[in-house]
Amino acid sequence: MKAANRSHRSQILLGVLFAFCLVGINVWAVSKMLASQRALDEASRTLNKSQQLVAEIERLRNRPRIASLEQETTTGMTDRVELAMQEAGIPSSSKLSSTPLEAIQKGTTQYKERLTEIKLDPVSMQQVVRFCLELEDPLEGLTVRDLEMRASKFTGDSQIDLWDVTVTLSQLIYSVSL
Amino acid sequence: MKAVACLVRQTANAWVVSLGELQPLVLNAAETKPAGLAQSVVDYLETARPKYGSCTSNIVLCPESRATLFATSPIPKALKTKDRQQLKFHAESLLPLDAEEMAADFVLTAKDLRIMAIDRAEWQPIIDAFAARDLHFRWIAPASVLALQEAKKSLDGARVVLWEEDGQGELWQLDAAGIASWTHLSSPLDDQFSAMRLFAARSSDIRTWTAINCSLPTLEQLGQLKGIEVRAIELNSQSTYASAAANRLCQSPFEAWFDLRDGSIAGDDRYRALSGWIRATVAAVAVLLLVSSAAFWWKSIQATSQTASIQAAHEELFQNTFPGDRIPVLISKTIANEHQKLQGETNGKGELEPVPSALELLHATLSALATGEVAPFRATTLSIQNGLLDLDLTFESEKDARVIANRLKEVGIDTGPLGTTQDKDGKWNAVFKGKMVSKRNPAVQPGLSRTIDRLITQGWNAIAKREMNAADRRQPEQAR
Repeated sequence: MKAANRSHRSQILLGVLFAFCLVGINVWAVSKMLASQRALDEASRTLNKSQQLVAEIERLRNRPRIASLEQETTTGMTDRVELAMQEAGIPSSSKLSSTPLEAIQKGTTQYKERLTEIKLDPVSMQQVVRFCLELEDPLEGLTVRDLEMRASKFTGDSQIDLWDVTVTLSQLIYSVSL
Repeated sequence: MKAVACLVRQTANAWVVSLGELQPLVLNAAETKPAGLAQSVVDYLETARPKYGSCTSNIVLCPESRATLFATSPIPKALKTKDRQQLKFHAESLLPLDAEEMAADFVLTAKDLRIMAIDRAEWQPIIDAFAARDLHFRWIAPASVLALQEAKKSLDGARVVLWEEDGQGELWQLDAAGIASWTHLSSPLDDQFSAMRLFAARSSDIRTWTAINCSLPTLEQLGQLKGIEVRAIELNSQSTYASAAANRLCQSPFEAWFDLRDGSIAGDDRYRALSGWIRATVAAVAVLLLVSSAAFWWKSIQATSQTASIQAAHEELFQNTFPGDRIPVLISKTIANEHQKLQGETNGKGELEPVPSALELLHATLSALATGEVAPFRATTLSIQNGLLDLDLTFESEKDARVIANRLKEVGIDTGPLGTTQDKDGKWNAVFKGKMVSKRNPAVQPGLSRTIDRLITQGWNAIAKREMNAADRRQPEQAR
């Protein structure tokens, strides 16, 4: 009788264990399937989004650049001005000053504008234009925003195309928010 | 291993315990108390265990036919047929047992109610003794009834059956619902014949009786019944059929006509009768769980494979977009970052008014000054502040100033109404203030450098040279 009882109990125990195993396997399979399905949906959604972004990137690559992602250092700006003067044939003695200002936030946008004021005296129109062309660099967001030219005092010789010039160079900087 | 039932059968003076092909155990009824009977069954099952496994839950108890009461009655209109207690009280009027004393089962047909009952008090000690030893009854029904139910399919639709076993005859009327009438034929033969005649009178419409394993005297008596045709057949013993029926009860969802497990003798498992169905359902659920688990697993494998394909496509997209770059872990985030950077660099969102280049306005201004025949002029100030032009020119005639104003408009610079002033030397000063309102196609504009050269030679150099010449001329006159 005790043996029969033990057998009956062990049968029940085995049955319960088997049921737990089955339910456990089922729960595991369901959770695995749900997780895989979620990963698939997420991957599919991400790929779609990336495809849209890539299409947009291709479009943007054909647009002119107006801003830089990094602000030019003071030394870098000085070097850039010196190089532009050399290219334009302006002697170093013609540079009166080069003053970089603090970058200013452009409204509520993610852009900042940093101005650098360069004073030259005296230079010809050709030199001014060449100097400005050398300074402008869309890839770095550099644009000659302001140009003030005043005719130098007429000295009476043939050098009549001489100007006192103030060039204001603007650099637009875009702050990436990650 | 198929489940095999242990049949515990009560006969007139003995208990017969049988299981499969084992030698039946016969116990003297007078000397065997319920506890002794239960213990004997336990021992018998222990010996059967090696061959048949545990059969402690597959016991069918068969009260002797004579200990079982049967009645048939029309269904009273007021009777609530779903209320077993009411049915029992109705049976009380038909059977020599109180409702509280009986363990009964009922079969309800369209025209009548059939009741089978035993005295519960008589069977309670046996049920308790078995339960104390963890033995459980799967069914309680007379062996003759189980045997008849099992043998019915061999009887070719017989409607009246007389089955003789161990010198005792039982007479049944059968219909589609099972037993319609049941009579125990008792000795002596005279009484038996009377009972037969009475039964024949009650079932006068049935003229063919089937006699199973009947002795010659009984067959002779049957022959004396007027208008009754007797079909005598030989079958195995009732115990053989009862064992087969009991085995079927344990193996499949088979239901006996009557089950006398009722009230306190119903046993501790009221779902035991459904155990076949329950087992089948459990097996079906187990199979369903296994199959669904496999299906879910297969689906997850498929989803994982598809995810890998999408990841590969993602990597390819990245490589095509950024050739030479190392594929990052978070491709989508990297693409989003690059997109954001490019959007910022190119003002993709259009959130910012681009900084106007002074060179553009300078070029347009100088183009206007250098178009057509260049009038002599002298520039004193040329200022471009944030897209606004401020140009101060000196002309020899007012007409030249108006020509320049028109040319500025032609190149897209709106300077507004022109104001001029004449100085003491007779020269005309004009200040042009304005901004670009429309851009001309740069391709049709002359090169800036060439424009400047032309201006210098024909424009302000000309007027300067004239001034220089005038000064040169004035010096000799003063010398004179």
